[in-house]
Amino acid sequence: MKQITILSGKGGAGKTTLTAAFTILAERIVVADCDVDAPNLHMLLHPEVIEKQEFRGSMIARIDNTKCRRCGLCREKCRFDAISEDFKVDPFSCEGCGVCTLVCPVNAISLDERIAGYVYLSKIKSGFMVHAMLNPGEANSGKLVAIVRQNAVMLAERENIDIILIDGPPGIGCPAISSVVDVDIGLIITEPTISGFHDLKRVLLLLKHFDIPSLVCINMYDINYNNTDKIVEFCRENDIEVIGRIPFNPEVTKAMIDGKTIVEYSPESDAAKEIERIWGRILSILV
Amino acid sequence: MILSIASGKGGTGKTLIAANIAISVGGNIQLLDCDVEEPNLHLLLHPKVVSEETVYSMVPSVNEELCDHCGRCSSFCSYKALFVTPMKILVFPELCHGCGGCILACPKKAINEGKRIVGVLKRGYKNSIELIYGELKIRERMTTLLIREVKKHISRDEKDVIIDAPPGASCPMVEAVRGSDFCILVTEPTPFGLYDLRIAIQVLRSMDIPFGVVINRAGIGDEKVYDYCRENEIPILLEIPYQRRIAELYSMSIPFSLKIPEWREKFKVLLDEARRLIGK
Amino acid sequence: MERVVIPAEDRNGLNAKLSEHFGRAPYFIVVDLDEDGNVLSVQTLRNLGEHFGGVGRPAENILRLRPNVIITYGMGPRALSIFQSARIAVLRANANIVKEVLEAYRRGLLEELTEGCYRARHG
Repeated sequence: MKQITILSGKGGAGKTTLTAAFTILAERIVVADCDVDAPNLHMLLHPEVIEKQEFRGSMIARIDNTKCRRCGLCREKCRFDAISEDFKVDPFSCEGCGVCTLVCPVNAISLDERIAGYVYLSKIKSGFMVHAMLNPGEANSGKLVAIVRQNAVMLAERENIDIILIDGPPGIGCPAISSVVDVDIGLIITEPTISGFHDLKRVLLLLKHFDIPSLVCINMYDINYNNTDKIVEFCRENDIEVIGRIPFNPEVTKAMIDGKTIVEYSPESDAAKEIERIWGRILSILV
Repeated sequence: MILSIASGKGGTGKTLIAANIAISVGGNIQLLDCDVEEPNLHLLLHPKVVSEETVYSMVPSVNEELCDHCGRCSSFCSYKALFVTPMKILVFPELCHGCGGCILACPKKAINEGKRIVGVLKRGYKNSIELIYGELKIRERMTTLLIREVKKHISRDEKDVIIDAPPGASCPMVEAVRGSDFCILVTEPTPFGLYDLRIAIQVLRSMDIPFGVVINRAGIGDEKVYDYCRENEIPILLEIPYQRRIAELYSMSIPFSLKIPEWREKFKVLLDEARRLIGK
Repeated sequence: MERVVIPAEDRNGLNAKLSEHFGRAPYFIVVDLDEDGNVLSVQTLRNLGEHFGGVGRPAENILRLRPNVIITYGMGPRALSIFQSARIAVLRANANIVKEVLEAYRRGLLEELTEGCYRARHG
């Protein structure tokens, strides 16, 4: 069983549309949407939910006002400024670390579990999908990503499926890290812009740190040939394979409005053909 | 006024709009780039960096001579950052959230506060535009901590402050927009754009921050974002059409109002509209 | 008694094929040897790391087994320093099958793995 994560660093490069296209092309696959803040993959894959789990991601401190003597020790020791002057816990700042429960001299503080989101296990045409929704404003998205991935592995083993495709979140922080640790390949989608190139380099460093082999795919490569060349040159100097270059195609958006991927909407287009070729290459590397 | 620019979906144009507003206004404005994982504002503005400050987070430092391997630190830790082996305590600094609980939990007072580098804070100027940005060290997870550090440098003068928020709708975005007087939500007229916009709106409503929408790349998709805003009485403050010239300039890291002067007036009006809508 | 842990691609115990990379191995073969190097027991464990559907990370999970020696082709720098801190010997494998590397180990032929590898081979 092999795992591949699709990342970009910079948002908007096309991770989700590409992940969906690969999923459609695959024969048997488990796909995991790890962009838990703002999940979009379901809008192209139309999953049928078979199981829903509550994500009790974090704890939140609760102060019993009848016991509280307002000594202020909790406020002093809380490193996240989560307790207000009138001893109310700010749900947006509280990390649930438990320090306040340790220091309160009258045991007025307890930690409650809170439902921070939901995990969905679903059926799709070419296999299964695991996705999640983090309640807006919540913390611990990294933990939710790990749970999505655990469920994906469980499904892959149960259903005897060899490949897990992971749609990663933007950025390089906690949730992105959770989406790449211990995978077999990181595929970075980049756009040929200065910002995109800058962000690509940071993601590559992240993958290198975690010891994950990288592949790069340049999306909308024809919007700036100059930058595309720079990216290709950089990858060559650093011994990283550029697995493909996909041309810009406004039909991608039309397809999205129709709830489809470009490979379904316009299979004869250059973009669709390049995506198909790339998927074939990924399969040969993974297996 | 403290104005934040957020989106939900990544890649909609937050940073581009922040840069364009600052350039159009001309000066006496402060920009805070709170997308500390992938900061891009400095790439558009090319500021002269005048200071760099290392940002630290705490990390437990175990005094093995006092430690009796009771394991209380490890059981207290909610982040699995400490592991007790028969020979010593292993610390996984990148998992440590810096809560300080292990120090308090240790009955032998064997844990001290060490520190580790989580990123860097830079300050720069472009004419009279001040830019403060944070850059998270690769492999570090303490995004929200670094955003808090960036925001500590919010200008106390009369100048307008613009906060470029990270994408998403979780903790980092919340930290970035917290305390702002108004939030501009940037979206694109596509199904993904609308879906993520609605999530971002939920966050802003629960934080009681007034907001308006800017539609970038207008024309590439459908009308549903417009319908949604109208039905929910959400002001659409500006539309930026998808134009090859604008996209080309962006790909070369040039904020388009520099090269297409008609836009400067529009971005000034955007800022004034935001100001006018505060408290409505 | 000595406990040796070897990351593997399959469940075939002493005949299992070694995995190329510690963290990504689907299974771990745990072999207990007596002072003379005879095999006392062989266990095959699934990689219980959270990214494999379990909890925690591979290195931490293996630590719980209290191994003395790990034999592998490659390991990430973080896992390597974790084992080194816990005074567990990490040796470089020189053969493809578990029982062959064990034989090499008994004969003292294996070298220490001193560097975490950044890129496992792919393709």
